[in-house]
Amino acid sequence: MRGPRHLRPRTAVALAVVAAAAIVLPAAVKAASASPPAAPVAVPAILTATTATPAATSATPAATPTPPPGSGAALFAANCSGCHGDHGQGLIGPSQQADAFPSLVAGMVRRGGISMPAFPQLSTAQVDAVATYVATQIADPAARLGTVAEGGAEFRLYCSGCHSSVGSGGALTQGRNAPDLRAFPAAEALAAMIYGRGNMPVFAGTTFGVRQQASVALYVEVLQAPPSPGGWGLGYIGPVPEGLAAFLALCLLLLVTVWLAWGKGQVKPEAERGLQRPAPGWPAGIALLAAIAGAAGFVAFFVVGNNTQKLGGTMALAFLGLGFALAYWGRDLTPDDVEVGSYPLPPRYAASGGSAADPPAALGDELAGSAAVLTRRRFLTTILIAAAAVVGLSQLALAASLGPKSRGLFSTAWRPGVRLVTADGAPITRDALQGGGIIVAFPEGHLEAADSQVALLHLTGVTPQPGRESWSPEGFFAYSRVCTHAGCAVAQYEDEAQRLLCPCHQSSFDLLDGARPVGGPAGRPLPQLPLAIDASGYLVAQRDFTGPIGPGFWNLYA
Amino acid sequence: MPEPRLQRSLTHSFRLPRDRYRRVAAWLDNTTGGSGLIRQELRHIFPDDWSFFFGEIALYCFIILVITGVYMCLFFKASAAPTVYLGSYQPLHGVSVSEAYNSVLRLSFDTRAGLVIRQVHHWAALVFAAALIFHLFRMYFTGAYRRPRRLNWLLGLSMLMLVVINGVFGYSLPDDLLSGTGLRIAFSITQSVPLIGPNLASLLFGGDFPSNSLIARIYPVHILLVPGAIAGLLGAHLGLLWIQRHTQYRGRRRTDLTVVGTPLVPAYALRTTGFLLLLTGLLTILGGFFQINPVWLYGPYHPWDSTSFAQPDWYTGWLEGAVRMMPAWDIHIGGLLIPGLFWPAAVLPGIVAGFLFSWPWLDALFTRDDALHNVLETPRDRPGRTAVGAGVLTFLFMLLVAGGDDVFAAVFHWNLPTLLSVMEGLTLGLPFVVGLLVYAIFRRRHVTAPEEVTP
Repeated sequence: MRGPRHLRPRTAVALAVVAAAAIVLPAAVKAASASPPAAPVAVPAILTATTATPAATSATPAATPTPPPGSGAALFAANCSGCHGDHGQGLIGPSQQADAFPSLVAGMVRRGGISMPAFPQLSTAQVDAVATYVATQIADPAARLGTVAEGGAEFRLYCSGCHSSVGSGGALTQGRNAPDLRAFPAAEALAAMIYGRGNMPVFAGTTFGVRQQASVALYVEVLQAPPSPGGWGLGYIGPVPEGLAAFLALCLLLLVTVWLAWGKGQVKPEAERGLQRPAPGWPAGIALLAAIAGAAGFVAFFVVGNNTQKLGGTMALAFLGLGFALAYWGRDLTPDDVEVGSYPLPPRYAASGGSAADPPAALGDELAGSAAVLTRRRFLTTILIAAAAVVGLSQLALAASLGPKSRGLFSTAWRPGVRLVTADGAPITRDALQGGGIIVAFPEGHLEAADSQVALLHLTGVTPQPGRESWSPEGFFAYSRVCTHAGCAVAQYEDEAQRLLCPCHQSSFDLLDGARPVGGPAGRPLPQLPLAIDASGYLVAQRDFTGPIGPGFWNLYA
Repeated sequence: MPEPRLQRSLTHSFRLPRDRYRRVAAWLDNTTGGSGLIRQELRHIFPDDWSFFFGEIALYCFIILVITGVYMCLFFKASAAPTVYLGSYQPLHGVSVSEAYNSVLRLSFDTRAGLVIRQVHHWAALVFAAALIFHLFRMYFTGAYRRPRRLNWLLGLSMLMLVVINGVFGYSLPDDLLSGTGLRIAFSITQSVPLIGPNLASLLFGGDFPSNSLIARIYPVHILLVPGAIAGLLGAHLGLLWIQRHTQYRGRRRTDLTVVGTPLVPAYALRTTGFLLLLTGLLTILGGFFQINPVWLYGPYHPWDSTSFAQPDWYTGWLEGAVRMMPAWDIHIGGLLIPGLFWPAAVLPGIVAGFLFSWPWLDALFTRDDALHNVLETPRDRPGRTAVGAGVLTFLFMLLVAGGDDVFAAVFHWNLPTLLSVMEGLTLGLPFVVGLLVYAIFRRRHVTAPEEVTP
């Protein structure tokens, strides 16, 4: 007879079936009538609309509640024009030419920015009215063409080097940080792009227009609440917290192993044997029920949608339930049978109990016998080994097909007279960068040429290196953007310190001294591209770099 | 049809017993003749200790990785060819990306349970490598690498190397911003090798970086070659373990000749199968609730994009730290250059691997103990070895911490260059301090091990 505390197996199965049915049936019914699962990624509605149809947005601005006492224009005149100018052209505050998206403006008005106060006295309707007014009447129509996708590309080219691709910031030199963008209203990013701030250069002018600015602001808005369908984002600071979490998980597993191995496999003294009270069976039963419920829930959630937390949670419940039941069964419901066996030691070793120098005889004799047969045909054996080696080595020739020969580490796509263009392919004139800033430039017609990318800067009052006096016409300097240490894009530009930094291993290059390495593991300066200005005012290359760009290799100086 | 009749008559003639276990056993004997061997091996003795589970964690992670990996294979497209992303993740809608990145986004957003499986795969890889490190140092600190288990030490180390390499390949496949950055650094490291570097890099990476064939080339290596090699080594590793029996700690009736433990069936098999499922459950919790490697936020890779907080997964973090801290030691030998990158990225891992691979022989040399051992030591028994191990671990740990220096600088608002200098000092000094401290403590508390009780 089983003890009363034990769950009868048939009862357990019956309960499980009922539970499973209770979970699966409604889900199946729901699934049969369900619409296709919703898009899993929550994105602010305004952004979805603007990304899908930018033209439509510009034609029909977001629904405007009828402005009660004052219209958007009146509210603007009363609250905004004092700083931003009568036409939003910029006065004390920045120009509003790129403020093409009402949600961004509204967020700024409600929360305020670093230098702009919040406007709590305005009602929601009033904020919406003034935001719509700014977006539709003041912003440059070109800015409305901006999209999240375009903003993402610009962000990864110009911003993520310091602020990280997730917008969570980053470390710079001298104890300064690039701030976490998720702590600011997205429109604040516009002011920072227009004015620059501290170490941050200006992102404005002929090559970084209102459309780019508006796009980046839109993308920053997305990053304010980063889409995280996978669960908790662990701070959005890259793989470091992930590694930490993996070790914490392992420590949790170690607790499980301690539980599993507690007091097991020991030969106990006579007095301690047979004293254990029998463990109850119900924990295993409950765990199995939970496992069945988990599995049923997983199937149900799988049918109705694609929610990672629900799927993961139910799947985990299924495995944990089953796992606990089995482990508990083996640990607590199975008698501790301990056995004593013997290690497979060489017989003579075991007998003498000591010296390892005694090899077992039998196998050795056998091998010696076979070897004697072989060595009788010594000549043939030698040939056999040689032939096998030659056949094997000859197959290594296949490896040569692996790599097309390198185009050469010694040259890039720059040729005399080739124009410098932006990542969008727009040629760069001598009007660019007059307010400071930086452009990532490529040779015209070679936008995919990774080794040819240069950082173009307009540095006034910097003396060129000896021998390079003619390389920087009108103060335009172009340096290879491929780090001479390990090849990452040297994407951080500290405006105050006039340094380029590599976000991968923190090499820093002094722009006031020919991009000489002044910190970090890089050993060679960034190569400088000799520039000229052609008759039409476009920036062009005088010729290719004078030496290899990027990381070092043994015959670099050849 | 003569066969079924023959079968029936044969079956009938054997008069199989009704009991189903006996029937299974008889079927086994009729088909393989192996039931005797199986009967014997079902009682295979496993010594019990919580620290013996590290290897099992690693083994089970491998199984989970293979299963989740096979699932992802059905959706992943190993191609660098450009395409336009048109899936349901709005911020990248309409962006030109590679087929590989596109397929990872589709797996993550538009394949049911695709994201949870992908995240379980990645978490399993991180826990796998961590379990292997624990396993390795359990072997080290208890002397389990001594004869007759030197070969198995080598097999295990080889698997550890393969796991780390395959982890890097897996990190590289989605073709996101971090993957591409990692591959660019790997290309530069290959290029830094004297004499053969530039040609070797061109050969392995398919020409100049980034080549169109790179993703397509890594893929079969990641899903077939390396896992196949790991599976082969694993078979040999477990086969040796089975033949030699597991080591055991000192205890009642435990000697170098007699093994005491729990027989495989039923108790041990139940416990370890339960543990496999518990591990799967834990990894599923991680995969379901803790986001890992959100490639949609990192964005597609272009060689002109880069990001702060660019780190590898933790198991290569120690190399990242070494690469960050190493000063610019470019060595010029008569017009030839050995780039500074070569030392931390190629020479250092070579030294660490060399140390680990040769340790059993070094140990035998130091101790003049070449005998067979089945009973383990405790860290306290060998203060010298424990001190060396603690020092090496401290060194690697400091390198690992330095690999995340920019994250710590940003999170705790520390000055990055200062932090780097402090880390350089600690990495060179702390291992010796820790080693000496451990030696002093264990030396003082060292009690001569009691003679093992003979049967």
